[in-house]
Amino acid sequence: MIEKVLADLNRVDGVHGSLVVSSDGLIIAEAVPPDIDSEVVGAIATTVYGSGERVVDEMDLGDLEQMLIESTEGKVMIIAVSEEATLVLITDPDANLGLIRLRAQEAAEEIAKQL
Amino acid sequence: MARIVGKFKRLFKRGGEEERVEEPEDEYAREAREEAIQRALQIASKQLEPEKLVETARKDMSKALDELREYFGFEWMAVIDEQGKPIGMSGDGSFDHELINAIKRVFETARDADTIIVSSEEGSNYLAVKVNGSVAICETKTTPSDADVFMLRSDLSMVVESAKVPSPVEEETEVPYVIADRQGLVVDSQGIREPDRAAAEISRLIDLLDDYMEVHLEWVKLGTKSGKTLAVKPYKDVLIAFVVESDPEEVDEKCERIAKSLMSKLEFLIGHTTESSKSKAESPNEG
Repeated sequence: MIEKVLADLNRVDGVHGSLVVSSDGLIIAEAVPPDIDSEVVGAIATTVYGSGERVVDEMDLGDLEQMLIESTEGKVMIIAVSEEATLVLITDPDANLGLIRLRAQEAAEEIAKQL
Repeated sequence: MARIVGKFKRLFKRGGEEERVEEPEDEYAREAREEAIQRALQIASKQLEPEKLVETARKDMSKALDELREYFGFEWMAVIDEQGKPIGMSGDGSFDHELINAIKRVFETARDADTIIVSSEEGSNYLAVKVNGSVAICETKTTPSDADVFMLRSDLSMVVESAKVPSPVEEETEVPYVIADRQGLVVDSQGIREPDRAAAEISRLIDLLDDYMEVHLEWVKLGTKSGKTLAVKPYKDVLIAFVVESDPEEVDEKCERIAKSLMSKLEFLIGHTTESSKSKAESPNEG
């Protein structure tokens, strides 16, 4: 179950919520607290990830695998699960990104198997 | 040591415009004496540690210059290489390119000269010393003594030589980068294929994030399957974007270091542009 993978991911210190979004912005699975509007997050994540893909493509850097948006209010990590889906994580501003990156990558691989 | 002392009034846009109020000579003499005593006390109370300075210079040239500037009490200082390219700077205030070009011309003309001291009417003095092929230019309120120049030359020599030792930091300054304004116009770039198009796409991405997220963006990092990361840092009115190849564990730290280095470079460029615009505005009939 993808929800189980997301719930496990949310246990990592600093992770506030996570969701899997299709390439057209629809929510496939989610584990987010009530204060987060997952549909809005999903739509924004899909749009900015698409823009990120155009940037790295334009600069000839290879296929985009991961996008990290850091702000004073928090961080958003978007990871490619497959060509049709991305995993989105919302974290605290001071979250330990090293560990989160690692767990998110493992989760993305697990989710890809289940899709 | 050859020394050229002159008053290049034209070089100092801030000096010479207003009528100087003459004060009694003994007042000047007393002030100068007190200043010299203060300076001597300052130098005596602080000590530069050569080993620490060398280590700092290896990691961060500008930081080593900060230490030297504070030690000698300079307002600002800059080090340029033989081609006139800045290799480090420290202190507030604008970077006077007219002054630097003039100093370069003097060194080119008077080939044996290794020190230039220029004094302005408003009390700012400029000291330029040739060290290991580089030139350090400093602005100071006090008149540099022979001892100051000797000590500065010795310390600068260590800093410049240490900075020449290949280090990871130096390698990082070679990363491909593009600095663009918020409208996507390129301010500066290095090693980026079609920087205009890259800058346009990067600014579009940042616009999207600003519109949607309404947060204060600190970083946007795009990691690709080829192991490269495009890092984008909004800074003042521009976007600093560069490409790093690093392990995921080290990428954040590396990005911080590179961004700092590019910010210094940007500050230099801003200083250059401001100075050029200012001099054009001040002499509209020239050229």
